[in-house]
Amino acid sequence: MTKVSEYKGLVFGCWDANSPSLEDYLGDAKFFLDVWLDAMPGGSALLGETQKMVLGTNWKLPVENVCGDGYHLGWAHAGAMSAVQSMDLTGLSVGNSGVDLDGGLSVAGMNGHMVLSALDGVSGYAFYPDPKPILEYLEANRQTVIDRLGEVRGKQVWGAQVNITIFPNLQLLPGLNWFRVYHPKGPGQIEQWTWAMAENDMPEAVKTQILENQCLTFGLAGLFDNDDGDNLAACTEQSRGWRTAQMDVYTNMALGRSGKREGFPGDIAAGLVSEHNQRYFYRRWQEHMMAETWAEVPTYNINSLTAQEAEHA
Amino acid sequence: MLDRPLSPPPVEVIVAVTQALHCEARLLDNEDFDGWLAMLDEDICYRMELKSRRFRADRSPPLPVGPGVIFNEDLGRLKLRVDRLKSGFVWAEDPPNFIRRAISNVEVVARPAENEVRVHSVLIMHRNRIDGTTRVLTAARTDLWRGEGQAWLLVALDIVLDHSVLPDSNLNAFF
Repeated sequence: MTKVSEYKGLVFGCWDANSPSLEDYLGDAKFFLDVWLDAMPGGSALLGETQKMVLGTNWKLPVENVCGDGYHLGWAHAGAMSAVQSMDLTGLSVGNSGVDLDGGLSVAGMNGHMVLSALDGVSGYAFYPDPKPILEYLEANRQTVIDRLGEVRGKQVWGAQVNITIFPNLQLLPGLNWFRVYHPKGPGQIEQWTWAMAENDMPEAVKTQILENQCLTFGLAGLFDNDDGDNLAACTEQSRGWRTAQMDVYTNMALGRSGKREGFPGDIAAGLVSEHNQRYFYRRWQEHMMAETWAEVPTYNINSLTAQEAEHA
Repeated sequence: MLDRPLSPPPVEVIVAVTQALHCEARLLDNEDFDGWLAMLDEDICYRMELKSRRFRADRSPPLPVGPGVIFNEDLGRLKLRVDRLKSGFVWAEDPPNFIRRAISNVEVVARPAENEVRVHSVLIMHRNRIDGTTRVLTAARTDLWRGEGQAWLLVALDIVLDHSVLPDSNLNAFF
């Protein structure tokens, strides 16, 4: 591997010596990564064995599914959501009957990295059968996190459901607490590797509960994960059709409705229901595919935190 | 746990338990989930752990909070999974997959309690999808069965899946 770099325990490699530094590559996505990697002094770790499965899908579809596709929840996972009735993440219930656009953010425009974030500081654990021990952990440590990361992240983001996508194929979801890498295995096939993740400062009982819940929801027999794989395979298969292959992908939901949000980096659309993040994801993919060298791949951190700070100074 | 070297169970017990295993497989193949749930003890422990695959020389300590699971279900959770499958919203199972389970290598071992037996078996699950794709999964089961009146109830299953990478897009099926 030509270049190997580490960011707070995550190790990345790149074969191109002319690629940007990891710091620059991650850009403002670090603002969100830190909510997981650096909220508490002990940092975080993966739990349990690697959960591996083969899916007959193009690698971009599972990334798209998690990076921005909040609206698939109420339909794709309606079976699980109707069986586990406690689930309602900012209105994303069965059938998407009502959605609260103020409850979350779709964040993109950070070098192709994307984030979906609820803003309530607790919803990550809303799906747990017994959320009490985890909510107690959050309450006991919230001030520490506010001291380390500030009010916005400490109060609103830490503990909330957050979907973080590091372009191209890494996703981590504080709350549902899984960490996942998609390995392309040739056209239309991937191997999906999943782990549970926890903060090292969490009591062992909370870690055990997190591992158990991650296996139940997004494990190999996960009540939610077992809906996605077949959908992604079907999307891949359909797109190979002679007529379908000539059609454009339609990702126009909430087009032109994004902007700046005080205290957050990125180009931000309100709510978790939007195709804002998907557009940036495919834009980044196109930027890479069209570039002959790294020099042609643009670097952008829209509404960057550094610029916001300079404005206030 | 090592089974004690007791004499083999009476032949009628072996026949009854083996028949119960076959019956269970047939009920599940036919998606008769209620019939299957009725074969389970109310304290059922249905478990499939994630397996480690390490170099033989690897002496690393066990993982801090364990390897994690594929299934770790009590009766309530199994009913929840059945409710999900019955909801009409599990698109991966509509139209249904064709599933056929073959049970083999059945070994019925006596337990100190006369109305209990340990049962080892091997299961081959053949799944065929709407697109014609076929997946074959194999697993081993170690069960505890308990005789209650005329019926044998399944009290515990420890299932070992023989795939380090799951060659299927879901496990919407019981083993």
